[in-house]
Amino acid sequence: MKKHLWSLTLMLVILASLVSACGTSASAGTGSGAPATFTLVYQPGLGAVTFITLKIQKTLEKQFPKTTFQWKIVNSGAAVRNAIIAHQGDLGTLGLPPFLVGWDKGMDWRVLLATSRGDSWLVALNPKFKSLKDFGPNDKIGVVAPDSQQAILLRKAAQEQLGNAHALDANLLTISSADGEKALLTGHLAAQLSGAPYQNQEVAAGGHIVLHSVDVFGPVGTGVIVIPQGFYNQYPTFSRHIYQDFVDVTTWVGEHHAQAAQYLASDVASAGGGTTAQFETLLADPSLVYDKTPSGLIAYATFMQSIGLISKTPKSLNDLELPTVLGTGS
Amino acid sequence: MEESASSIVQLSHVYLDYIQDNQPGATVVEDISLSIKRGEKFVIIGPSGCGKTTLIKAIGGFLKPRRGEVLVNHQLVRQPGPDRAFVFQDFEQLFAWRTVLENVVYALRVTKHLSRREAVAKARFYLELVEVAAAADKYPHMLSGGMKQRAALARALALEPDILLMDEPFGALDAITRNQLQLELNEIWKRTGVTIVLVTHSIEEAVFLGHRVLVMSSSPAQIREIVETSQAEDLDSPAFADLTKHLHSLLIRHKTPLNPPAEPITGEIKALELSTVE
Amino acid sequence: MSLGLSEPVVQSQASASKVRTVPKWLIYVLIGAGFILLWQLYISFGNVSPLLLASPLATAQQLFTDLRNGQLPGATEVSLQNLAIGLGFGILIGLILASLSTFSRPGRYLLTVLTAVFSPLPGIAILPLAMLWFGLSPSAIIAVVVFGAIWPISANTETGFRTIGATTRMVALNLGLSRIQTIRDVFLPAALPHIISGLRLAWAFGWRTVVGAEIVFGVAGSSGGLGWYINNASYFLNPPAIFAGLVVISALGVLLDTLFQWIERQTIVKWGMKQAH
Repeated sequence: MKKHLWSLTLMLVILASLVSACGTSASAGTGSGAPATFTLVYQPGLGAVTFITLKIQKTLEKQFPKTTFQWKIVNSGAAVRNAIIAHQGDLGTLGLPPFLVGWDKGMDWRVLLATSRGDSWLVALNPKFKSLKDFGPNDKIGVVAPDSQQAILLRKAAQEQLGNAHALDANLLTISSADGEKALLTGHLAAQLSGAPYQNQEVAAGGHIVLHSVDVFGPVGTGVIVIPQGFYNQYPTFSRHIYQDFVDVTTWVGEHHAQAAQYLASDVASAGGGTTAQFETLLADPSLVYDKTPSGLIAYATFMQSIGLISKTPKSLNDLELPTVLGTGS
Repeated sequence: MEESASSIVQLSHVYLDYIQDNQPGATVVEDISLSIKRGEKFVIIGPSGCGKTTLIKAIGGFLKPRRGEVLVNHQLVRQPGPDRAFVFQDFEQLFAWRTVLENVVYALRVTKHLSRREAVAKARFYLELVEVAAAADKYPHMLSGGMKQRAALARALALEPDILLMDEPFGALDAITRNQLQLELNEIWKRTGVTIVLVTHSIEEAVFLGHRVLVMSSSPAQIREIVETSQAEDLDSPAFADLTKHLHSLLIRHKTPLNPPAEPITGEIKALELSTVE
Repeated sequence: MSLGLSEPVVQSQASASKVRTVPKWLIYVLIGAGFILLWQLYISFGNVSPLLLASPLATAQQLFTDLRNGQLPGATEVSLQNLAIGLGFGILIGLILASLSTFSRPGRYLLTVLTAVFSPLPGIAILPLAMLWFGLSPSAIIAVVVFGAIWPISANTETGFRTIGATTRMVALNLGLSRIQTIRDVFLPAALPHIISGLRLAWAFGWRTVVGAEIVFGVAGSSGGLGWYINNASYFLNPPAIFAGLVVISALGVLLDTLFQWIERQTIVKWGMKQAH
C-alpha cells in the first residue's frame, strides 16, 4: 500500500509540473530588440489593403531580416482576439467593440493606431422600410457578428429612435456580408448593415439607405490595430517601427490607388475577390478616410457599458492607447 | 371424391409449389384430393419436407394451389381468416408485447368486434378451458413452452373457428408436456366439437388424436394412405399397437423388413367408415 | 427463471468485499468528479489565461446565474423545441418511407437509393440549402433536423419490419387484420427494438445538428438556442458561459439517453424483446 501511495504521489507531481510547463512561452528576443517571430492577424475585406501591401512589398522583412513574419486571416474580431489571447498572434486589427470587450475582460492590448473612418449603411430593398420603426418582429437585419460595430450601432440607433436599445435584438441575424447581400437581394433579409463594397453593390441593385452610421455615433473609426502592452514594453523600438510602417503604407495606398487595387485583386483570400477596377473605385470613395488617430473609443465604450455589454469605461484615452497615439483621438 | 353436406374441407386435385423469393419452385404436393368431415379430427403425418405443412397452409389460405381447388364450407379459399384459426409450432406466435389475456382479447375484439368487457369475459373462459388462466397477466416471454402453446391454443379457440388448424403444435415440447397437451386437446375437442386438422411427425400422437390419419409419401407428396384410427383412443388397446405398427411400416423404411411392406397406393383412397362423431 | 450467472463463484479474497458494495452510478460520479478535479488542477497550475478556459467554479457560478436569469432555460427551450419539431416530422416521414418500402417493391427501390445517397450527408452540410429554401428562420434549422432524422428512422424501421418473423406475419393474416391494423397493432410493436434504435440515433444526430446549426446560423437576440448562447458567449469573451452552455448540452444528452433507457424498460425489456446491442 505504501508503494502505491508513493508512486501515485510521484505521478501527481509529474502531472502538475507538466501542466504548469504547458504554459505560454513568449518568443525570445533576438537580442537586437526585435522578436524572433511576429504574427499579424487581420480580417478579409477592403480594409486589408494595408496588410496586403506590406505583405507583397515585403516591407517588414526588409526592415527586420532576422524576424520571421507570419500573416493570418481570420473571419471576425472575436477570432482576432482569440488568436492574440492564445499567443497565436502578436498584432491584430479589429473593430472597436471586440477590442473593448477584450480590454474590459482584462487583456492588456492597446491601440497602436487606428485604420480608417467610414460610413456604414443600413440598406433595405423593400420601400416600406423607411426607418427603424418599420421593422416588424419577422424582419431580419443582417450584421456580420453580434459584437460588430454594426450590431452595437443598431442598438444605439434603436435606443434613440425606438426608446429601447434591445428593441431590435430579435431582428439581428449574424451573417457574413457576402451572404447577407445575396439574402437581401433575394428577399430573405429585410435589411443589412455591413460595409463596402457590399453596401455599394446593394444600393446599385436597387436598395435604399435607411440609416447612416455617421448619424448615430458621428464620423467614428471603423477599426484599430492593436498589440499587447507587454509586447510594446518589451520591444518598443520594433513596435514604433511597425507603427510607422502602417502610417507610411496608408499614405502610399492613398497615392497609388491603381497599384493598391491590383494588390487587392490579386490576393483573393485577403480581399474577398473582385476586379482591379472595382477595388479602384472603392478606394476612391470619398467617405473612406484613412486616419491613424482613433475615434469613437469613448463613445462606444460608454454606450456598451450602459447596456451591459462591458463592465467598465476607460477613465481616459490613455487607458486604451499605446505611446504611439497616446492621448489623441476620442 | 366424397361430397356430402357434412364435409367441411375439400381438396380437389391440388398441386402446391414451394415459394422461394416470391418465385414458384419445385412442386411439393402433387394431385391431392381429400375431404374432411365437420367435427372430425384429421391428422396429417409424413416424413420431413413431405409437404404436410404446405398442405395445411393451403387449407389455411396462406398459399394458393397451382392447380386444383381448396374448398372450405364449399367455398374457395382465397386468403387466411379467423374461421380457420391456426396454431403454429413456433413458441413466438403470441404477441410478445401483450399479456396472455390481452393477446386473446385483442384477437376477439378485432375479429368479432366485441366490446372490451365482452372480450375479456370470453377470453377468460377460453383461458380457463385450456388451463392457462393463471398466466393471464403474464407476458409470453415469462412462460414455459407448454404454457405458451396453451395460450396460443386458447387464442385460436376463442375465435370459435370452423376449423382449428394445428401445425406440429407440440413438436417443440418435451415428451411429458406433449402427452399432457395431447390429452387436454382431446378433452377440449370433446367439449367444443371443433373440426381439427393437425400436422404431426409423431406416430403416437397421430394414432391417439386422429379419427383419420393421412399418411403422405415424400415429395412431391402424394397420399400414401389414409388410415382409420378412431377406434384407437385407448393407449393400451391392441388396436392402438396395431395401428402404430401399421403407420410405422408406412413411414419408416427398414433394410430388412420387419413386416411385409405395404403396397404403396397413390391417388386412391381406401373405402373408410367413420365411427360416430360427437 | 433465468440462469444468469452474475458473479464468478470463486473470488480472490482481496476483491470480494470491494466489488460487491460499490454501486455503478457511484463509480460514474466518482469518475466524473475525477475529471473535474483534473480540470481544476489544469486551471490552477497550467498557467492558462482565464480568457481562454474557465475553471469549474467559474462555470458553476455562470451556470447558476444564467439559470436564474432565464437565459439558459430560454435557450434550452428553443433548442429543444427545434429538436422536437424536427424529430416529429422526421419520425413521421421515416415511418412512412419504411412502410412504403415494406409493402411495395418500387417503394423498396426508392428507399434504398434515397438512403444510399442522402444518409451520408451531415445535417450541417445541408444547412445552406435549407436556409435558401426555408428562409433565415428556425424553419431552416428544423428542416435540417428532419433531414438528419429520416434516414436512421426509415432504415432501422425497415429492418425492423423486414425481420419480423414469418409466424408473426401469418398470425396477423390469420386474424384477418387490415393493412393499417397490421402495421399499427403488429408490425410497429414487433419492430419496436429496431425503431427505438433508430430513434436513439435520430435524436443523437438531431441534438448535435441543432446545436451546430444554431452556431452557424446565428440568430441573435432572445430567440437563439443553446448553440447561439455558446456562440454569443464566445463573441463577448465569456468562457464561463461557453462552458456552462456545454454543461447544459451534455446534461440534456445524458437526460434524454436516460429517458430512452426508461422507455426501453417500459416496453421492450418488459416484453422480453430487448436484443443485445
